[in-house]
Amino acid sequence: MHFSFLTAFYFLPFLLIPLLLFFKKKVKFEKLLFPSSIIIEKILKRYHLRRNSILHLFLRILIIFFLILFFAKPYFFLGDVQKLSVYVDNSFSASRYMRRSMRILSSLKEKGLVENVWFYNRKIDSFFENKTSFFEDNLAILPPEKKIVISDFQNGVPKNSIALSSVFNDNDFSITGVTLDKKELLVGETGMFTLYLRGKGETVLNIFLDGKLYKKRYLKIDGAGKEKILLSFSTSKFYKILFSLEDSVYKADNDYYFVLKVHEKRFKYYISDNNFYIETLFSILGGEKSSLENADFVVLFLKDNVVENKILSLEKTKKVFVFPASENIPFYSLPVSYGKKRDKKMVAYFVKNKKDIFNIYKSYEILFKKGKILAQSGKLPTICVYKNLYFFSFLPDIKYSDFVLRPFFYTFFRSIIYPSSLFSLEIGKEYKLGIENNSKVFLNGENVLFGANEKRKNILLTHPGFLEIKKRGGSIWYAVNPPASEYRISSTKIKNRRIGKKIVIDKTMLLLALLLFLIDTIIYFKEQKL
Amino acid sequence: MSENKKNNFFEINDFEIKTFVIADGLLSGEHRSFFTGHSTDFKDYRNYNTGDSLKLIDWKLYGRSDKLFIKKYEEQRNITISIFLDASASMVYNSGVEKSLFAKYLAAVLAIIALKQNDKINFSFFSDEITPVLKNGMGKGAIPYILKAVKNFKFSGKTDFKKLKKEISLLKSNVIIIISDFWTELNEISEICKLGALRNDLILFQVLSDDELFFKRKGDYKLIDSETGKSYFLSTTDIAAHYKKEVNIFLNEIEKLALQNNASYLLLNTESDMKKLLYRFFMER
Repeated sequence: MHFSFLTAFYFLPFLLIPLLLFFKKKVKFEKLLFPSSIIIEKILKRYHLRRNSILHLFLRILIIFFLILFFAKPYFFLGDVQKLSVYVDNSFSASRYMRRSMRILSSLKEKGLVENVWFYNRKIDSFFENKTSFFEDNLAILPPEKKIVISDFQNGVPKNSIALSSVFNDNDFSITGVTLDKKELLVGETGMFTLYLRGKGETVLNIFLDGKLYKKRYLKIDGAGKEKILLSFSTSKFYKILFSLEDSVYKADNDYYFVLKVHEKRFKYYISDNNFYIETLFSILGGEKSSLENADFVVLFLKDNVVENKILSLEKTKKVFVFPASENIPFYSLPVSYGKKRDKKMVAYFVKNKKDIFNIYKSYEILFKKGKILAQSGKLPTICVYKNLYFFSFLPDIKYSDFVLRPFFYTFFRSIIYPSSLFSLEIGKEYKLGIENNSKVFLNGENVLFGANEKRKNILLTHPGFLEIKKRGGSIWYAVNPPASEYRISSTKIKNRRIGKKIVIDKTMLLLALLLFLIDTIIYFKEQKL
Repeated sequence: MSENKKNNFFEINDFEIKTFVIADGLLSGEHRSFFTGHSTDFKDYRNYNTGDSLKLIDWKLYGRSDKLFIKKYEEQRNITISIFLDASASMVYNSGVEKSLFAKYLAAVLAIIALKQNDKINFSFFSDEITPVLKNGMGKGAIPYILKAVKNFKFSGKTDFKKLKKEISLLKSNVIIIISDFWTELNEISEICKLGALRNDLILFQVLSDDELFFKRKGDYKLIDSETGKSYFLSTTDIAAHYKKEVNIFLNEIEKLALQNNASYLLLNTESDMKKLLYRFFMER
């Protein structure tokens, strides 16, 4: 038998109420010295009054008991269930995750999958050290059935680890993630933050900017929700934003750390020809015309559609945007590989490298690969990149009015001019963050790195907060949060397990309580009538 | 007479005077005697009952009617009356009128009447012991002694009808009067009735308080049996309806037993007018 709401059993002391009333009544009974009890004895025997009073007591205790069971929502599984042994890490490092571990455990229990629960401490945890797999190395110690390990895996993740299904807990508030509508933010620009929230009830969202309370917002969350917040910044620097939900139950999950680098709107560019569209766009993005030598970005219009070698050499120091002098430039002479029409999906792709794909035009699909000659795509509006060279197969003026390309162009140039960097890290992962010999690393103001003589380049994050890496050029900040998988754990393995049919019997409990109440009432009125 | 005045009547103060008042009131009627027994003057016939002496049968009447009758004679002044007053703890109960006091009055009144009629009387208290107060007492001179003894006697202990039965079996008395609440098993009462009616005229006075008859109390009580000490937790709501019914059954049974054994029976509620009840009772006898 399983119970959905074990908290209902806190009401078990209520079972004592009929008992206390029964005895309290007896204490309160007034003493009466009566001549004889012959008649009383006869009444008690004939009408079973003594038996009935015990029966009433018993029935009333049962009524309360069944009501408690009703609120506890009991259930059981029909059919075979393949049970698991669950090992919960309760070492010091994992103690702050214990609540989350319990959520996972209760979720598994609810599915009737758990047979044994083991809490292992540091001693067993040490099996992880220098071992390839917790399971492989400790099979002799642990029972042979399948297992689930819930841990922060400070000492490495076992190979056979099974991902779990979503774990929800509506009782406390948590911020499961924060996203920004832009990859980077410029000075004076408004960014829309989307907060993914979980919980049930009313709470207060506090936004701290560099440690100071900046905004307060009253929220009502029902299960899971989103909250959108607009923020703009006037200075170019790293901003440490802490989103914190007030929750009296559990504090650690309620904070979400976010680091944002706000860019100054200023850059220099060189353009080989006058072009109204490019110049307007660059001006909006904070661009300033300069000579070819001083420019960070170069815009070239190729005559005769030939890529000269000197252009290729520019790519080493600057980013170069190459446009054709006339429309539909064939890329035969480009060093950038080839493109082809992929299929009939008619989606245009631009390939920067093997991993990054930008969808720019939903009409055609062109795949470029390095080192191969372009076959045929001259008529397609495509952009192709080779190192820091960006080749456009169309004129910007012509496509200026294109409703697809216009916003894309803005985003495209913006992301190249102001490249976004990842300032978000996850707990439990090891990072190479360009730590130099003289670097100092602080997490929430405390030095978390290594000893004076230790020269490690990698950092393993164990706690959430703001991570500062002090370098010669200045500090770089990172936000450290639990991995998203802590909130959205998904796997098919658990779902595919054989689970018996869940039979909830809360209504049966209520029915039994009502039935007993009816019996109790009938007996009572029968006594009165007699 | 109002209820309160009636209740105040049976008090221990002026016990002697009040008993005389009742006794004299009863004696002032036209009747010659309250107690019937052996005599030479014919009074009445009654049906023959098993156990009646064969000497008493009117054989002439049998010859005429083929039925057995016993001749009843006008009582003579020298008959012996034995009064047994239940002095157990169960008699000590007050629900308006002290039950023991009421019983004392009754016993004293009967004793005075008997002594004034020049009858011989035996007077005893009974509980778990039989306590004789007067044996073969006669004449008005014994009245103060009886009254003093009755007035001062303290009730306690359990009623032992077996001892009473033994005592009665040894008696050579014409009239036996038992004053009690008769809270005992019916078979014991039955045995007393049989024994008493075998040779004597048996009169049973059952004295009960209003509470014992109707149990009008309300609330929750830990009821303690004053004789056995047994306790019962009761809510009047649980037993009130049943009590009246069960008491009536019990009293009817006693009355039935008395009638079956040719004994006289009178139920006296301590709240009732003793004089009226006694007068009516003796008139009906």
